[in-house]
Parts: sequence; C-alpha cells; structure tokens
Amino acid sequence: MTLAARGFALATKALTRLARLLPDGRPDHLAHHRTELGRPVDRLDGPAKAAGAVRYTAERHLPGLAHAVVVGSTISRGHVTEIHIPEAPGVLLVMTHHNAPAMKRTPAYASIQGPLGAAAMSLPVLNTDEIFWYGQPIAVVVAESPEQAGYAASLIRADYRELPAALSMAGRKPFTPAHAVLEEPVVRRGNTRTAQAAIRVDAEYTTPLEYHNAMEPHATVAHWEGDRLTVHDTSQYPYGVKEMLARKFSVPEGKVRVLAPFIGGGFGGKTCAWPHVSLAVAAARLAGRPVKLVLSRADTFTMTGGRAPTRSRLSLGADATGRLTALEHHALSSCSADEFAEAAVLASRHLYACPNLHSAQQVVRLDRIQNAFLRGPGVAPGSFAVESAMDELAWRLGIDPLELRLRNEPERDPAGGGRFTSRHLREAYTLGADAFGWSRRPPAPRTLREGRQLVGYGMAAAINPDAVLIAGIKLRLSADGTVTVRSSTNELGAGTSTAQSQATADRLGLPLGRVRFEQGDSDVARTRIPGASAATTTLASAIWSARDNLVRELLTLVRGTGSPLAGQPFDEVETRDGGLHGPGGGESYERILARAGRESVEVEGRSALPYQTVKRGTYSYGAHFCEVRVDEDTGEVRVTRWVGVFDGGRVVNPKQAASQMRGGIVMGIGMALTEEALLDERTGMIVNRGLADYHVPTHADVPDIDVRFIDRPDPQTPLGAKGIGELGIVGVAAAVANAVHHATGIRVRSLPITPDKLVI
Amino acid sequence: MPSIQMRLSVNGHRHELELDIRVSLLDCLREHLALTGTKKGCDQGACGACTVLLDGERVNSCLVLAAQCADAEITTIEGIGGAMREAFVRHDALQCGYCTPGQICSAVAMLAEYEAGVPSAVGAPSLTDAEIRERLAGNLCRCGAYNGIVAAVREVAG
Repeated sequence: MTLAARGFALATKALTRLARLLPDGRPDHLAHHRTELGRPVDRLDGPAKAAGAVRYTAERHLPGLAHAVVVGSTISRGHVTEIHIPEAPGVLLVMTHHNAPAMKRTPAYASIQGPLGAAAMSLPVLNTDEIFWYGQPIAVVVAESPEQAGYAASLIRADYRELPAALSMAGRKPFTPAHAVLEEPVVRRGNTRTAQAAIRVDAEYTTPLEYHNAMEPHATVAHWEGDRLTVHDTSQYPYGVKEMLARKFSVPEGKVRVLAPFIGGGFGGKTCAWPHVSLAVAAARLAGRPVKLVLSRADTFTMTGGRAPTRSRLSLGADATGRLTALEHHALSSCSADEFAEAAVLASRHLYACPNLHSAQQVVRLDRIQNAFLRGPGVAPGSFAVESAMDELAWRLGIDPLELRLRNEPERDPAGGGRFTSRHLREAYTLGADAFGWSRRPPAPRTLREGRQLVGYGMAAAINPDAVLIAGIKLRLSADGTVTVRSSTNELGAGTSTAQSQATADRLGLPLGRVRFEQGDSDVARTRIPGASAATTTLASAIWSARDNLVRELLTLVRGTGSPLAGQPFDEVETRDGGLHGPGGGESYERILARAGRESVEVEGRSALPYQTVKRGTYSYGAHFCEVRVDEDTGEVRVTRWVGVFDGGRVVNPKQAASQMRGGIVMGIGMALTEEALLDERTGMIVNRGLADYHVPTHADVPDIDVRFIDRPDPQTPLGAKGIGELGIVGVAAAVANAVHHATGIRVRSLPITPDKLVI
Repeated sequence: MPSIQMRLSVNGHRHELELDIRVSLLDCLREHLALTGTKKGCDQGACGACTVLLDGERVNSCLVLAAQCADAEITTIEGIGGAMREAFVRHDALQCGYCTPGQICSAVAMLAEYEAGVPSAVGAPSLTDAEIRERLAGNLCRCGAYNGIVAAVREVAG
C-alpha cells in the first residue's frame, strides 16, 4: 500500500468511527403525501424526442464551423518519431504534438489527487511525443467538411520508437489502491482462516472488458470568442468539464461555459472528459474557428474507456444449515498510470450476513486507456462472482438458492456493522419468486426440456449503493404562477427532467403543467452528479432547499402588507394548493407576486450533506428471476422470461423507473451472453471495434421483462427515494449463468456465456 | 473530390444541392439540410439509428450516397406523423431518444412490409411480438426500451 493509500485508509477509518455522531437524514413528508410524485407520467421530453426535434451535441451548427477527425496511434507504448502528413484538399490545419497549444495536466477523476475532477486521465496527450496506449490521439485534422477531414486523416502515417507495453493482467504485480470508489480496498471482520465450514465453495470468476456503446457517439463542439470559451459536449458532468477546461487552457472559470442538455445515452461512458474534449478546444483555438469533433464508433473503443476486466476469487464456507461462516473475495481489475479501482467486492460485502469476512480489491497497471465507470461499476461484475458462488453453494448444500439467500439475509451491514436506512430485499425475494413461479422449479439440473431446448431457471440478488451527491439549482417563480427550475445536470435518458418536474410540483403544491425543468448549462450552479444513480435524490434535495428559500423570500415580500400571510412564522407555512398557507390563512403565488409588483422571484437551492449515507448503509436492492433455453446442439442461450423486483425506496415515476430497470436488465443480458471487447494482448488493439462485432442485445434478444417495485419510502432520503439507475444490471449476469447451469449442468464462470462454453 | 449538382426530395420538399460526391444521405440530411432528426450511431449500417424511408422502403441512410437519391423521395422522422410517435411516448418506448427516430421510421416501414407480405425468419401467421422483434432487430436501443417499442408497434398495428 502506498503512503497516500495508507493515509486515505486511516482517514476513512477515523471518519467511520465519527459517523455515528452525525445527524440522521431529514424526514421528507413528500415520501408519504404525494400528488404528482408516484404517478406514471409520460416523459415530458418524449414528444420532442419522438419527433427528432431534440438537438444533441453533434447537431449544433455554428457559423464558420470546421470539422475535426482524430488520428490514433497504432502502438501501445513508445514515442512518435515522425508524422507523415500528405497534402489533402480542404484541410485547414493538422494539429500534432509539434503545434498543439499547451494543455495543463489535470488530475484524473476518482483518483485521490482529484476525486471530483472531470479529466479521464492525467497523462498529457498531444503535448508530448510519448504514447501511453493504442489509439491515443497523435493528430487532429481540421478541414472544411467532414469528408475532407476524414480523407486527410486516412492519409496520415506515423513512425514510432516502440517500447514494451504491459497489456495483460496475467503476470503483472497487483497493488492495493488508495480506495475502491467509495469503498475501503480491504475489509476484514473475524477470521476467515479459522472459521469452521461444513461446505465450501472456492472458485474464480472473470468478466471481460466491456464498452458502453451509448447510441450517440462522443462529440464536442468548441467555440472561442476571444478568451471566452463555449463548449457543447456529450458530458454527464458539464460543471466538471468547465472546471477542467478552465485549468487546462489557463482561463478563468467564469469564461468557460459547457452545455449538455441532452445526451444520447451515457451509462458512465460520458462521466469524465476523454482526451478528445480538450483536443477539440485546442483545435478551435488553433483554427480560430468553431470546431466540431465527433468520434467514430470505432474511436469510442480506443479514445474512451470501457469497463475494467475483473477476476474474482470467491471462497464461501457454510454450516450444514446453510448459514455462511466465512466469505473471502479477492478481486482484481486493471487501471492505467492513473489509479482507478472499482469495487468488485461491493456486493459480497453488503449482501449476506457472515461473521468472518475478508474482502480485498486490488488492481494492476496496464498501458491502456483508463477504464470508465459503466453502469454498476465494480458491483455489476463483482455480483456475477458472488451470486454465482452462492448458487454453487446452494447446489452443494442441497438447499434452494432462494432459501439460502433468505437464511443469510443480514439485520445489519455485514461489512461495517452499521444499520441500514431501509432494506426490503426479503420482500423482493418473496414477491419475485411468487410472480415468477419459482416454486415450480425442479431442484436437479438438466431436467427441464422442450424438444432440443434445455430449459433452466436462475435467480440472483441485486444491490447498489445509494449516493446523494452535490447539486445547486435556481428556481424562478413567475407572476403567472409558473415555476422554472434550472440545473447544471443533464438528461441522458434516465428521465431526470420529468422526475424533477414532478418533485418540484409536489414540493410547491403546483400542478405538473406549471413546472418547467431546464438542464445542461454548467453556469447555473456547482453541481457534481457525474453518475452514481444520484440525480433523483440529489436534485430533489436541492429543490427542497430552494423551496425553503422561496418561502422565506415570499414571507419577506408580504411583511407589512394586508396579506393573511403577513407575520406568519416560516415553520408553520406550507406550500400547497398553488400558494403559501399557514394557520392564519393563505394566498396564491400569483397574488403574492402581484401585490408586490414583481415579475418573478428567483431563489437558489443546494443539496444537503448526505450524513445518512455515511452514518448508515444506504443501498437499493433487487431480486432477479429468469428462464433460459439452451439449444442442445449449438449451445445458443436465449433468455425467455424475466421477473425483477426492486427496493428503490419510493418510486418517483413508476413508468420511467420500470423502463430504467428493464434497460439495466437488457444491458445485463448483453453482459451475460455476448458483450466482450477483444483486446489483442500483443498489440493493445481492440479487434471488434464496432456494433457489428461487439454485440449488444437487439429486439430479438429481449423477452417481456416483468418489473415490480416494493415502493416503500426510505425514512432518511429526499422523497423517500433511493437511486435505481444502475441497480437493474446488478446480478443479471449471475441470474443467467445460474439458469444456464440449471438448464445444462454446466457452470460457466467466465463471461460472456458464448456457445463454445456450452458445447462439449 | 468532384462535386455534383443534384435535386433531392425530402418530406415532399425539393432541394437544389451541390454536394461532394462522398456525402452520405445521412450526412446530407444532417449537415446540409439541417434535418437532424435522423441520427448517426455507427456510420456503418450496424445500429439503425439513421433509418429513413427511400421511396417508402427503410434504408440505413449512412450506407446510401446522397448522389444515389436524385430521383427518389426521402421520408425522414420530420415527415412521419402522429400515431407511431404518440404510441412511443405513451408506452415509454424511449429513454435517451437517440435511436428513437430510426426506430419509428423502421417500425412504420416494417408494418407496410408486413402488409405487403414480405417474409421474415419467424414466419408467424400473424404479427406476433416475436415477429415484431425479428423485423425490428436491425434497430439497436442501448437504453433497452425494447419492451415499450414492441408494445407501441403492436398498438399501432391494431
């Protein structure tokens, strides 16, 4: 462990001890009293999206816009010795390390140097001749048209002085990182070595490099006006990108504006700014014109990161009744020169009661582009390991896998010992099992068949940490009684704008039609929600605070007037029925503003510090049940039935929430069966850089997915809600693998479950 | 690279254009006609986000050169009206919205293909969910809104 890591670990331990002194979360009455909240409202931006009327980043057209194409390196490590740039029509400039403007190094995201930074990597790109990964940008061609830029880029060749590159996790020396994204890298309770176990499972599980493949490729449109910079970017984190660009190009933050209202899917792949973002800005400065840079689908595999491959050694011990006595999870993933470790150990730490726990996350450094968060970072691949191992343990014990989980459901957090804010996993298991018909499952594998199809049932648990992050919003109440909320977050498909419109409506006692939610402008307020399924509760917290500020402001306006609200104390005034109401009477918002002669009132709101998530275990949960059919001759696996039941606290919008969960399950089916970026470990090249070769699920691969919610409020979170955006994918691959085992008797411990692993 | 003077008819409007002959129909719509409803997901015919109707038949517009379309009538999402769009919203058949215009164009053309007796690998006697899934399998949705899309198409098909 490095010195920094040791320091961080000590600080974490101290914080954990102090945590019990922290206050609990503020109970939110909107967890119980709701009008718009909880309603399956059609997403408000749906009509515009269905009409193709929403503008995404690459669709911003500016006068004098030039087009950029990036050329990537064809080696993984070494130096560029020469770049050959033939003449080509329409080219305005070719930017290389010889002429690129200086870009200051900024710390990489999720590292202890810059935990909240937006930069994907701290390595210099195009300010050095050094190559750190295959596909690293070595030149940016700027031309009058995309066709001219693409053709000119295709002519560029480079000579290299190549150095040996570390490309395989095998044989590299693992180290313990400073932290594993919100988790301590090592947790020990009791003693796993001396624990008695009647039955043991000890196996290794692997998951491959995977890519987000959001339908919209990454794009940046950069525009300098003097030293003012405006950037349209496919960013999940506009505020962070603004900070990063200000530092990189040495301009005050106030001069940089990043706009990202709508994103064509993110899934974590647009959380941080990959090198092309700064390169588009640099090219625009060099060209003296606005520049649009859109990554090709192939580029997104080499110029943006994917999900780190993982290797998990899982050892479980249990007594004869199925109670866990020991659980060891040693997980390994990869990172680049910047330290980045996802917690593949998360699910195994917080799912099951076990007195003896040893759980450790390690990483190896490779000469590759940095890995990215991808829906359920760490926990999705790690849950494949622990939820497969639990299934294996159930077979050894002769206990139903569902019953085994019920017997090991904890009262307190197994890793930290703290209480949970809420946990309704037991109900999810029971409800899911009933809906699926789990009791009809014969215990022995390879007993169900239909013709040449072997049929199997599988299940697995889901868990994801609930995070409340940092957001500010601006709320404007207009004289006509309508409200506009502006935020620096964005709409990437999760339905944030609709959900927050519902939250605002109920918070202020207005009908939904009188609320507008605008997003995607970095300049509204400091906002740090790059992901972590945290938008719903974090923004709801900020809106709650804005509501309080609005009430104070309006009570100031009515002071000394004939309003029935004049002189009423803040604490006794409610926001309902289109206005303020206290024990001494009330008034509509329009009336208050009209009397004061105000066109509008604007207030700010800031999210509260989420003490409850530090003090207690705050997680969302789920239970997956599925049926697969395996072709006996070809080994092809088809998923034919799915039931998922989730505890995400109170559901804000059941329609959108169900879609979110289905989306996670669909992505999980891809993870289980087809998704794998094939890295040539000799060169560092990804071979299948495209949607024709990297197979994501299609219409034909996805059955009807039955999604249900427990829908009980968490007593300590805003709206009583818990984050669910990433929950759906967690456990899916294990549920499929467990069903495949039930169908075939074959245990596949290495994703994806391709036919070759099933044909003997 | 030589350019070509051509006329293009999109959603009933005729456009006079001078284009680099390399310009795909997709880039022509997005970059030259400001019809950005048609999306670029992969630029290699693998995702279906760029689906438009070329003389009534669905094509991946990234695989068609604009120069090939001089005498054709192009219909994009901007020219496709009400029922399918509304059904998509009602059934929450979209999340990020990026694949949605392609899904809708594809679905409209697919229903016409089915009516015209164009066969599929499923070969069901009626337009079952399995038929819809098979016939729309060329349109990827990474948000995974597939269930909603099938429900929307089923409703419009009646």
